[in-house]
Amino acid sequence: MKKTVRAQNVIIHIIMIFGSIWMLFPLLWVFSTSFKTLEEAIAVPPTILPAQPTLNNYYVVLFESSFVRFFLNSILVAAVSTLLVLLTSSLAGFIFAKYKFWGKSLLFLLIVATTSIPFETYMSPLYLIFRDLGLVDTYSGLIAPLAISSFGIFFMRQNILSIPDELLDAAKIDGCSDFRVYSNVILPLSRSPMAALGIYNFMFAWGFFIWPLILINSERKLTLEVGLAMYAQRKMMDYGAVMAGAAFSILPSLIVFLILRERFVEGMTLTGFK
Amino acid sequence: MGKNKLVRSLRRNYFCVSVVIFIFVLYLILRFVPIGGTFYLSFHQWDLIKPDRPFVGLDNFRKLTSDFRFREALLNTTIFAGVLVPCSIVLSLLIATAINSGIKFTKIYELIYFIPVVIPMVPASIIWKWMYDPQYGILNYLLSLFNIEPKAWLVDPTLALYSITLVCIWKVLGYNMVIFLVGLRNVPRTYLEAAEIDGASWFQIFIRIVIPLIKPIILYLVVINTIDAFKIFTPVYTMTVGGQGSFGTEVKVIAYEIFQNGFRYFKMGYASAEALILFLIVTVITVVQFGLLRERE
Repeated sequence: MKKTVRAQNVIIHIIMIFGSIWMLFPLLWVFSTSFKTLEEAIAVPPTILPAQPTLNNYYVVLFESSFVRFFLNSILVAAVSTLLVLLTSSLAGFIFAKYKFWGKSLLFLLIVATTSIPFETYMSPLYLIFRDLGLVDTYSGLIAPLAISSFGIFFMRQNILSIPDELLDAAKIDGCSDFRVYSNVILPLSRSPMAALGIYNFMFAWGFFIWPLILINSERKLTLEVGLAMYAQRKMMDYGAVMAGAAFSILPSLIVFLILRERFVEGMTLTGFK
Repeated sequence: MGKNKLVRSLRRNYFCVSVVIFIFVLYLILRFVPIGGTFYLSFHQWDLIKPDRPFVGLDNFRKLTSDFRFREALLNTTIFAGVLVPCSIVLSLLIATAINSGIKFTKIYELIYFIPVVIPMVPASIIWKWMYDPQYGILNYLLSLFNIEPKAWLVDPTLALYSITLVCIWKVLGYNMVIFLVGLRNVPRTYLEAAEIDGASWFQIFIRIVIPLIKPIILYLVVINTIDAFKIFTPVYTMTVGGQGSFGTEVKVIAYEIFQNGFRYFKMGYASAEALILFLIVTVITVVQFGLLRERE
């Protein structure tokens, strides 16, 4: 009986290890290729690890192309839009959870209804509006569609609903204005859902691809994702440099993931737990 | 008097009113008007270069039915979703079950299988494109070890769609796995132990007890994976557009057609008609999900 269990476990491990190779090999391969010379990158048979590691590809990526600029642009877009989403979601979540006003359930219904509508279905009219507002090829235009999140509002409302009314009343009796109640009671009590929402949104904004692709014309305003895609199209044959670019754009999220692990998984799969 | 009352009430509810207006205006500009705009534009012919935009009724949709590119895109996207969703659901459920079966090193497996989720889509696509490279790619090298002819993974039009599907399965497995693990860990131990005492096999327990208990999670993942699949754009764009020096090798999918017609040919009306079809597909999936969930309750 025990033996069959052990044999079964061995089989499970073998299958899981094969799966792990499938999961990890691309990662090994991108880092490996990024340290190879072009001759070695296309050598047959390929070497698993670089025989004569070179930093030349990283030199090309960091100093002879705009990757650092792309990277900073991405940080800017993701960070600002995440702050805005946290602000708008917590404010709206607070209002929808704790206030009564005319048209409240209709507005909430409309907001929730937009949750699963893909951005691709309304990007053309949005582009036309932004063109009229003069937002084409600007950072504000990049960030604006990411400033609100229907899921974020829904999620924050659910969390703020569980904060007892007595707490808010007590604060009001002590002379807090509505805004002070928001900033001194609601926000501190929503720290952990907001952290999860923040991680989720940062990753979403970071990977947002089609909007910068259509909105941005000047290269120096491109985000890392679009910049990398264009770089890869242009330098198609320079495998080492393209892989160095890919490795460079993987590293930030990979490092943050390995440090924060549980928090990160919780954030990334946030929409899964509603 | 009435006016005074209104002013006083506004002053008292200053915070609430201003937040509601703020959020409403943002939604108006960034969501409601653009979504309405898609409906409006899909009944108009609007080429960005021309100033007039005549109402054309259902003309755009009529053209769509005979547009072989769009039909191919619709078919490709459906095949993509039809392969991706069952494969990723079954595989991730098996992985989650294996991790939950009490073997060792589960924390390490959980970490490893989640890594592709963390890698942004563009670098992920670029890495796979390099592995799929017809001349120097590692996959064709591995095939050559078994004397199998090299394949044009991303150039061969029938193969390219499946090559892309494989990348997307690779990327989504860890996400589904984490959600399944939450569900599996909520299955009460006593149920499983009782079934085991009654002599049920591992397989019977899995089919008869575990699957029914996590059915809502399966349904949820099927829906979000399907919606995500119908939106596919980034891997297609990164892996097959303008690749290998030849034009027209890209895999046609709905979002790419919208992008192409709207922002390469500036046919906003036509692109909006395509967008409206995507909107309808996603809406139907969402409504069906709600229906199924309600049925259970």
